[in-house]
Amino acid sequence: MLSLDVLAVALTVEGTLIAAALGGLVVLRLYLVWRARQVEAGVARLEPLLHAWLVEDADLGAVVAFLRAQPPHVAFRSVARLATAYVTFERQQILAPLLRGEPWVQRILRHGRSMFWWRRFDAARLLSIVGGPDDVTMVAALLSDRSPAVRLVAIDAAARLGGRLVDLELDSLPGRQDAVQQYQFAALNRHPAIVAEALVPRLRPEVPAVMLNAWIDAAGASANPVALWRVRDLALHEAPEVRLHVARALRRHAEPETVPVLLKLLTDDDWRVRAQAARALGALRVISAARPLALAVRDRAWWVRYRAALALAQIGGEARELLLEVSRGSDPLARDMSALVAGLSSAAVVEMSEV
Amino acid sequence: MTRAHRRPARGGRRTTASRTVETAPAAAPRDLAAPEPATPADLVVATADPSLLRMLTFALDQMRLPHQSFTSGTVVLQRLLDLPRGGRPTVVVLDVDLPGVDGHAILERLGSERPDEFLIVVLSSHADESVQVRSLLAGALDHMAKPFNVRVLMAKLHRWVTIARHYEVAA
Repeated sequence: MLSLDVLAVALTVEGTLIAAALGGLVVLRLYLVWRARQVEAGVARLEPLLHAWLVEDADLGAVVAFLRAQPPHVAFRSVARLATAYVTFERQQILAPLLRGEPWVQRILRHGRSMFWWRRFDAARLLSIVGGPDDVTMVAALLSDRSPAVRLVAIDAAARLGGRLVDLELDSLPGRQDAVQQYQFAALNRHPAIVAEALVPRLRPEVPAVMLNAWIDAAGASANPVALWRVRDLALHEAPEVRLHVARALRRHAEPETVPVLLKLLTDDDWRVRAQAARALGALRVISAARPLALAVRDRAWWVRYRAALALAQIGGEARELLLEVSRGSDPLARDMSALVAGLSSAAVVEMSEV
Repeated sequence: MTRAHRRPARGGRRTTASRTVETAPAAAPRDLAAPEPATPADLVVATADPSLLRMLTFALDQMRLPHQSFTSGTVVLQRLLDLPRGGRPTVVVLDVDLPGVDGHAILERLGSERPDEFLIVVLSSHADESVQVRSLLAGALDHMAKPFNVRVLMAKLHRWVTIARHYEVAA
């Protein structure tokens, strides 16, 4: 009898706890739905004010006053959603100083040192829109945050603020994964002049190859001519990996002096360098490179033949004639490759050349 | 009565644009000179982003540029292909991210079936060189990466609509 009583009590306690947990989940869900609806309503009301500013150059005071009247989470999420999607960087620069001193902004930014990553994430995201010179220390801390999500968002904030933060970002580049590097390049490209100034002194042959490669890639992504001149000077670097990155970056450097450098790299000992040089000559549409590229279609490495044939197709005109000529030649490997590429549509050639 | 209202309708694509004309405010924006009122067939906007569509509609209304809007790639492609051949080119603002048929596919289809009949500006979230080159080689007049400056886009549309109108006169 006693054991049945104990079992009944245990079941009652267990049932109560399960019911409480389920009730808690329901309440939490309703709370989140309510907050999401609040944000949606905020976005819908902010939108026309923002449109009036973007289209007619209307007074920004209405936007600032509206946001001040909203709960902080509504103001933040509305701005984050609309500003990042529809407001250009130049316009964000006008918006930022007006919002930076607002109480709701201060409140979100106080979370920059929170123990919860999602609060630090919100602070970093807001800094990427409203950050100013006073926020450099906080952004620097968020750049080395223990959460990768926070670090990624902080890159945008750092690029926005420039200066010492750009140096910090460039120094962190070699240790980042490729996908994060690409994100960093896109963020850094908002400050091409500052980034070029910071990159040039780093592009020296004595720098370790791992770091040099990341910075060469950054110079290529920026397409900044000053930085790419320094990259071009590294074309004879002893490390093939560096020459490979140089050849890849130079496809963004459309200057006559680049052509002889790329033609030299087209005969490099390393097949990866030759392939990237062919790709760059195609991207730059160097018509004078048509004959060397036609020779490269006969290369012993499949990848070089592929890149050279694509480059000829990209250049078009006389280069395409040469490609067709190779497709009728006696070299079976060159013949197959050129016939394959000659059959591609122009859209496919552009798409495949970039991959 | 304006020239736009006097012109006979071309095909069955006037209703929405006419409504846009009726609701457009009389005053031009402060520093963007509005072109003379155009026919409702001048401009087509295709985007599945409701917020972007509202912004473009607002800006086009301010410019007094009659337009039609679409949110489906399949529908806009069919409507553009159904337009009668010849006459003035239609200016198309085409978002790449459309449900059904995407913007690039529409561009390529129009380029092959109706070349030189549309002046197309592509809007895309991607600013990559390859994406831009792909758009332009497929026949786009311009490629604008988001977020773009809506005032710059409106100035371009103003110019292209004027060019399209002169093109018809010359033809």
